[in-house]
Amino acid sequence: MEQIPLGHWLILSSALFFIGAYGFFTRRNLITMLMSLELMLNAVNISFVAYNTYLYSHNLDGMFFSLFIITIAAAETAIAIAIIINVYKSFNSIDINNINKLKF
Amino acid sequence: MDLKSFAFYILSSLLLVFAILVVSSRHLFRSAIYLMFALLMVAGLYFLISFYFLAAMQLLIYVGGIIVLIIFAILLTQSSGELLQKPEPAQKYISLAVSIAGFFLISFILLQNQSHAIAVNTVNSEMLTIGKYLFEIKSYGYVLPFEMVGVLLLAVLIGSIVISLNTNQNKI
Repeated sequence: MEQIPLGHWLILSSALFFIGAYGFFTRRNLITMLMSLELMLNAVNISFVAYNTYLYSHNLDGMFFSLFIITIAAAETAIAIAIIINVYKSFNSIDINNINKLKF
Repeated sequence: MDLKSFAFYILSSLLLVFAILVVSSRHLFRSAIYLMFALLMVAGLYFLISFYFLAAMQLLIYVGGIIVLIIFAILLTQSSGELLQKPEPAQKYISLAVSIAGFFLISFILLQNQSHAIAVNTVNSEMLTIGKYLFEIKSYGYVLPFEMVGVLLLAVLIGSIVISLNTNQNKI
């Protein structure tokens, strides 16, 4: 435990975040964009937990932040999937290039 | 190198490999399964630094809930065997460059301000402590966010029912 530097946790977290960001930029499907978003949220959770362990280990604040982030991510996914299924009913596709009815 | 740091490097390299597979696989269903494995690796990392409750919640909510929701959405919206379209080359290279540049910027800042903090005493994350902090109303208490999240979950429950009920069928 003491042999892993804090920097390795943070580099892991930032690598995971930017992999998620790459997926969010390149994917054109709503479900895959949602999955990339989950990767980014997990990266943030890892950095919160690492900071809690290394710098602030007498309290549990980072763990509670991660817990609330997980809860809100679940809520966000439920709403997003309801919206995606509605979009599919209207457009017969969940490709965001086809959803351009609001475009000027 | 002791067993824990060995496990950390194994878990984190597997996590990065699965994350890259999630964003690059052209089969949507496989991508969801890779995401499940990536979330399992994150749960393993939480176990490693002894946040057992958080790891259990990760397994319950992410692997047991969100992945199942995503797989249901895939089954409802995709026709089977259909490949996702490739990103356009210009868009792909620009976003690759932006992501790599961002990663190197963050890593550069981290290496500049490298802290030598070590975990002095292991975190006391047993259930009694978690419950005490979660319902504490004085300092370091989290009872207000707890109640807010309860209200949010109720709103999500009602909202997702309202969104998925289609009362008027006006096709666009």
